[in-house]
Amino acid sequence: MNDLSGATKVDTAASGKPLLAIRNLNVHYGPVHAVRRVSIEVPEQSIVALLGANGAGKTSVLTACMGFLPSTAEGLTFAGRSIAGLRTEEIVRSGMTLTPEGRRVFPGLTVAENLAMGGGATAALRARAKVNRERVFDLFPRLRERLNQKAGSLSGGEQQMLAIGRSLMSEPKLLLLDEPSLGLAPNIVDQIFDLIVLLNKTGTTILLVEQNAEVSLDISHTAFVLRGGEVAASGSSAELRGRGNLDGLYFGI
Amino acid sequence: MEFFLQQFINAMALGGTYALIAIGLAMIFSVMNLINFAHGELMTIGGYVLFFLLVMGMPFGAALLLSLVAAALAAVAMELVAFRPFRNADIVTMLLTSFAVSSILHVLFQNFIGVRPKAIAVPPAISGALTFGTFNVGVVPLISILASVVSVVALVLFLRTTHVGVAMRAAAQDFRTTQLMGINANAVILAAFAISGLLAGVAGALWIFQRGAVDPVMGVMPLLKAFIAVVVGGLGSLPGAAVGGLLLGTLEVFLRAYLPEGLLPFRDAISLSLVIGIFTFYPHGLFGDADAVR
Ligand SMILES: Nc1ncnc2c1ncn2[C@@H]1O[C@H](COP(=O)(O)OP(=O)(O)O)[C@@H](O)[C@H]1O
Ligand SMILES: [Mg+2]
Repeated sequence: MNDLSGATKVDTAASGKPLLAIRNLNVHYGPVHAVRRVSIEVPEQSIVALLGANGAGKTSVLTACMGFLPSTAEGLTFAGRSIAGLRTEEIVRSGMTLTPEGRRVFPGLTVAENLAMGGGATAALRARAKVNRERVFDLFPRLRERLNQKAGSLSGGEQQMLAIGRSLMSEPKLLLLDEPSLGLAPNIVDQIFDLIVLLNKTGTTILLVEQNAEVSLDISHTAFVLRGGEVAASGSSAELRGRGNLDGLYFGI
Repeated sequence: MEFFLQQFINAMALGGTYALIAIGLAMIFSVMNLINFAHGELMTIGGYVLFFLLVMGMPFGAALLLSLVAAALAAVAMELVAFRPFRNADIVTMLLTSFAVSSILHVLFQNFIGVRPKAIAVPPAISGALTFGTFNVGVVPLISILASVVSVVALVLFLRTTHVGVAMRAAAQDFRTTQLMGINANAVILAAFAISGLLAGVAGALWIFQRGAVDPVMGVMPLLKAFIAVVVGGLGSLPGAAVGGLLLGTLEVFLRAYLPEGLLPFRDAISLSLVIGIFTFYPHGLFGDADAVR
């Protein structure tokens, strides 16, 4: 069932050493064993897709990596360093950031203040906030126009752009994206996926959680499919795409 | 007209003092869902520090400043010793913890300092009155209004322009996401406690200017009033707390001034009934549905 042999990760861009390596991660919510012995490697410079049906455990994996959820793992290393047991702020400072499911922008704060919070983890980051903000504006010119507007008054697409822009303010080497296309209009979804590719090209490694499997497999190098908290399939995205029957993988039919 | 103006000044003075206490309460509630029933004791601690420094012969101004610092530090100590260990506990546990802190402090004050009020000699410049023609106005109410306005303006500037201030507003809206940004949640909470303590210290000093003494349960009544102000304003809303405080102070002063003699004993009951009437129209308080901190 778990064909995590590693042999299938052949993509050229994904040949780097793992930036994030998760070995046998487990997450429990009380009696619910939500994530079961999940092992995932995210090679440097790659886009890795983490797919699966609702409730498969994708969000739990991401939040556990961020030290935001009690979890146990045989190994949890980021950039060659163990991050098991570190606090979220330490993990952000070391270069890994999560754009959470449902965007979670601060509705009562302005766009500028939201961005400032994303780049607020250390004094060094705060000192570079101006420069980083310009880079975010280059990616999302709309945010510049909305600078002093409350985030709560933005459209869904703009809020997602703000959520991603806010994450970029922490200069992440690895960006974890939890369902960035959720609830957005199709043309906005396309923009978001284009942007993910662009971010990757400019050097950001990405672990992408999505329901939108087809597009995710198109833009990612390797992919993992979770089912009932376990890795049901993994391999190069092209190969998984070739297997066709994704519903089968999702639901075990 | 003159009488009305005098009462108006008194109302703003008392309301401003309530507002300072209420804002501190609301700030802690908005950031960490804690209703700190020991908040009133911060006023008392500031008062005792003022008393002892004056007894030691320190000049009034310096003693006053140090008493404000002491109130802020006491709030920080409360967080570190009493509340941090229960950070992830449910809201009732936190509430009971703050009750316990309040009771313990009462006992400590009573046993180690004394049950009786300690008189504080407020300088004549503060306790006196100003005369404009035929119009007399006490200096204390004017200072109270000025101190409240300055404190609120400073707080608004802090919340809008500093990193910690913005982080505090972010934490009030979505604590987990603020943590997710890598912002040090403990630092934000400590800052919130320090500021709420400082505001309580200012309110305590104003209270003492008015009364000329400090006693172990000095903080109880104003805290109760501030708590009502917070609920009226909408739990966790800072503008709501400020407006609620002003409203409550105004009601109290004007009822005292204009109620017929026979009804005076029912002053608090009447003012509370009026306040409760507000909930008929605003079930969540005046600012209850708006963002917690703006
Ligand atoms: N806070 C929680 N408390 C209890 N169970 C949870 C909690 N969060 C998630 N779960 C359960 O864990 C499983 C995985 O959830 P999640 O990681 O959110 O999946 P996904 O992101 O793939 O939809 C689900 O069965 C869900 O019901
Ligand atoms: Mg999810």
